[in-house]
Amino acid sequence: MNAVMPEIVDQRTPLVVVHPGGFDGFLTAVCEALRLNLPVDRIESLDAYEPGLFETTRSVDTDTDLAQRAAARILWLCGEDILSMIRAAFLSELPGIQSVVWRVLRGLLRDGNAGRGRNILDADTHATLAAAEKTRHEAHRFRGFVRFSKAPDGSLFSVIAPDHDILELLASHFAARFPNETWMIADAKRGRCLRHAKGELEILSVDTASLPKESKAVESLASMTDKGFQELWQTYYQSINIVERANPKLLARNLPRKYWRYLPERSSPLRGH
Amino acid sequence: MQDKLKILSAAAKYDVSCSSSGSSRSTPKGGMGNGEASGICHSFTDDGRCVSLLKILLSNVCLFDCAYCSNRRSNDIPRATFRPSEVVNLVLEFYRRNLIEGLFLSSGIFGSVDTTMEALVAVARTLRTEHRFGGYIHLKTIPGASPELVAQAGLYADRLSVNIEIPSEAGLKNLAPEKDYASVFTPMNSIHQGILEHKAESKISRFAPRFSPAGQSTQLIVGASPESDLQILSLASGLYGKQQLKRVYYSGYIPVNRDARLPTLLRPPLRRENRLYQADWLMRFYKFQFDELVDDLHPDLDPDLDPKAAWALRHPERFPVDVNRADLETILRVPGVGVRSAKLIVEGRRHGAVRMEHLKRFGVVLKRARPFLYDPFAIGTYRDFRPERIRPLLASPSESTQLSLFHQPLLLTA
Repeated sequence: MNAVMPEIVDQRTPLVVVHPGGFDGFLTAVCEALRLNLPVDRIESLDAYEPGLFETTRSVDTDTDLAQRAAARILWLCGEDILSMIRAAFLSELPGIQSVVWRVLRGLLRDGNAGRGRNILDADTHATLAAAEKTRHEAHRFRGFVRFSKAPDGSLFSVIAPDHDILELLASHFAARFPNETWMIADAKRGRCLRHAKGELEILSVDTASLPKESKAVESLASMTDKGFQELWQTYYQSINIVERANPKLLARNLPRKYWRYLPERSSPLRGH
Repeated sequence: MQDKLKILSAAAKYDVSCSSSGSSRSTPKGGMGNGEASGICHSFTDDGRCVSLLKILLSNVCLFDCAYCSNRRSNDIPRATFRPSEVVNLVLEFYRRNLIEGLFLSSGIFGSVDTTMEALVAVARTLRTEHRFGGYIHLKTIPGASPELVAQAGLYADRLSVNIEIPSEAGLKNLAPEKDYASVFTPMNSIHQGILEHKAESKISRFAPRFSPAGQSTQLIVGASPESDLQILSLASGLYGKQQLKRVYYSGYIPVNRDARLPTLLRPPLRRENRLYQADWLMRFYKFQFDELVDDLHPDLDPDLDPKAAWALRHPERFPVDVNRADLETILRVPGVGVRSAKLIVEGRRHGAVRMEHLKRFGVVLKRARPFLYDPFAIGTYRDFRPERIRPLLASPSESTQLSLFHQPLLLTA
């Protein structure tokens, strides 16, 4: 009797689409939500999803091909900048941001309202833009705060634990800057690692336990063979300070405390912090 | 090495410029390093300023005796000189660890002006040609350096700078007897000339060499000599217009020497420095002319008010502004509205009416902006504009009133 309706979905309770994670997973979930043509309230990654009471959940598996077609359609409809904004907003990993981006995408893809991607008066579009800017801002900060230590074999190694998933935003910058070096940037929070060797870039998953823990990252890195230049850098940092100009407020704004642990010159016991 | 680095970086710290922006150099083949046009901060000092470059002197031995400088000839301080190879090695190793964007190299004057300049150029040349280094290089041009050396420097550096230091020629003569404005402006003009010529060449061939692609900058010391803000800002405005400088830096004078020619200050004039930077920003990004901010009647910026608010209160005929009708330039002139939020407003109103709640989201500081805005649909904005009511809302307590707290008993007895 239900041959025309492939599944029965209870329309009275909120509907959530859950996907395995990653941007492709998210786009798959968006496509699924569009296909259902029902008022989907939320889209969540599996690892961040906490089922609420009275919710109907629908799981999807990542369909890379479908996701790429969705991305191509967004690109065609609204242009490069909007696609990259949506991607950066997704990478922000802010709670609830996927549902916000879903509402924007619903307007774009279902209603064909390409202008919606740029209508910053719309609260969802503005929230997407704001999330994207947060991610990009942190990526910009880490272009400066990533600190490489030189391992005995000459390769460079760094551990970070950023708020947002910025590894892929760092890739092209460091690849262009150090094309002939072997280097690695590990994200201790997400257990992933950006690796560059012989001009090849790859993102690997690593065991979080094998990485130095965030707070100890600085110390254990300094204990590698690279102490000499660490100390020279700390000397430099201390001697350029102008005591008469101290301005803790401005410092806190430009360099929030959460970043100090990456910077030996600010987290070293020498300074008493 | 530790000691040398300590001496020669401490000696360079009063030069405030540390930016690495304005140059997008690509990584040389087989080399390392590139230029990021937006600039990157690798750390921040206790005063909240960005650390982007390895800022050092090649040598703090100096023939000159400038009253405001800690490296002057007559000071009895430890002296040190880097070997060029030491600087090169330090830059490359720091850069490889992502500690810096590049090098800011200056020097005391040893031997003669031209030997010093030549040594600076040699370091940059070694980095660029032998080590194929593509990171940022800022070279200080020594006042009085020969045009040939300046021309060479421009080919290796991303930015060149000549410091004027004292904002009037008479003041400079008094404090720095070995310098005059000709020795500062001659290299500055020849750098400007070089930039223009190379730009013209690059129109003909994309292989034309680039000359100081991030332009040139200079520094003015504030408070060491009696110039008014009007003099300082009119000088800066001329430098932006005529020599097309990228930046003018203002450095609140910090007494490093005892000298009868210098004022004695309790503390550096940081608030004045801050107001000058705000005015400078208004000239560069908000299309203000210097004489709108200061004039013969108000030769100094108001320490209690930011220069934009001070200007707005002097021009009640221009306010309040309706953000849905005004053009971009008018919106830029509303206190509490920045360049970014002004652009968002203009972008946003293509889609509908911009309301107060949108302004807040766009980053407008409503607390400051509201008295200057009028929106017929919003509660709490008014069509009439009364500067005398607004001023107390915006003014921040000045340093002098903070100080006078300690003198209150005196006032009471008087």
